[in-house]
Amino acid sequence: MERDALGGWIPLFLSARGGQATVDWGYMGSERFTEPFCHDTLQRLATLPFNRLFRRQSGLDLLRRRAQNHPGLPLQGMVFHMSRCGSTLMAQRLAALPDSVVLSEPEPLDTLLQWPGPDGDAQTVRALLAALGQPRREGDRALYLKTDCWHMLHIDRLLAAFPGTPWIFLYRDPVEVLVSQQRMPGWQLVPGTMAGHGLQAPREVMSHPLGHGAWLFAAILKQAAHAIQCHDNGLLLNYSELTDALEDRVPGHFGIAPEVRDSAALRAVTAHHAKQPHAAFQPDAAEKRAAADSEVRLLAARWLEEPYRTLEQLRNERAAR
Amino acid sequence: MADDLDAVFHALRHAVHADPVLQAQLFGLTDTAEFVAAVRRLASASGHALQDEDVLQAMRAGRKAWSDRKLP
Repeated sequence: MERDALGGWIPLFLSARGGQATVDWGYMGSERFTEPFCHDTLQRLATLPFNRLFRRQSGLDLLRRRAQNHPGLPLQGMVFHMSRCGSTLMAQRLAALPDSVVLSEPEPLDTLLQWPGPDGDAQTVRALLAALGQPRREGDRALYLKTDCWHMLHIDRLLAAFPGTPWIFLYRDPVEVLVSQQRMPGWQLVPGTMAGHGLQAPREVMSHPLGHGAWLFAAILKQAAHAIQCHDNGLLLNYSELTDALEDRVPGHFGIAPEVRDSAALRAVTAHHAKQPHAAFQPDAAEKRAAADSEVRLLAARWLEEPYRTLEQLRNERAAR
Repeated sequence: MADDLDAVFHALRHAVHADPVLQAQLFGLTDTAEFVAAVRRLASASGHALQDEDVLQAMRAGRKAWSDRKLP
């Protein structure tokens, strides 16, 4: 059997300088994705002496060819979300399973999804996840993907790449999301950042970061409402039901075997704040609603009330079936 | 001189990329000084003399490529 020349190597980042799509591979050896976000792992790897000196470049052809012989772990589930709604906790919970690899908001995928045409087609998406989603330890059996929140807008392409894969859309009362974003603004609040994903923000939010966020989250909620009606294997999940859902509905939806669902490691994850591991996880919906100022309430009413209500209606209808 | 160094690093990368054992060994050297010393020994074994600064400069270029990855 031919030796795998890229064994232990993963795509650190993709670029398209001068119109030429390039994969920069970095060595990962047998290390695992253990940080809450892929970016943290990739950043750590990229700054190690070896990867500063010995990274290697290839075109997308090599990525696609390699995937034929090294398809990686089967994608068992995808987690889409609205941001600030418990998705990182869910990813950490999945990462604590004894047989999983979790890719949490992998930057190379974000780059690829911005490329039109064959460079970003379903085959290439599959090849990229094959390279990122290789087993990292004895016993790894399943791959999970948690996307960036705006990747909900690419769900059609992602499901074309992985037909039939179970997916979840996690969301939350928009007022609570906006309060969180107001306190700690995310990248998606920067006006214009979604242009690469084909989303042109209206002029009224171009100088208003929180308004830009509200507009984007509205687009995400609308896309989720559309997707749940036209794609199979979807599950709508509100933050308000997350804690219980992590115990039964989420593992059930992703087909996680009962014998690996219950362990001390899993319970320990749920007990901690996903992005601040030293802090205890505390449901904070009431505190966030109480903290909402008039700007948040106006933006929620302007952009998010209607799509949130629609989504809640769809969720309740499906739960009643 | 720069061309010579480029050729040396090209040869080093070629050798490392072809040798999984060497990859794992060098990857495990997370201390910069130890890593630079190992790279210099590797170069020396194939008849090339490198200074610490040669290796460090190449590493800085690699770091910059990561930092600049999102630039158009």
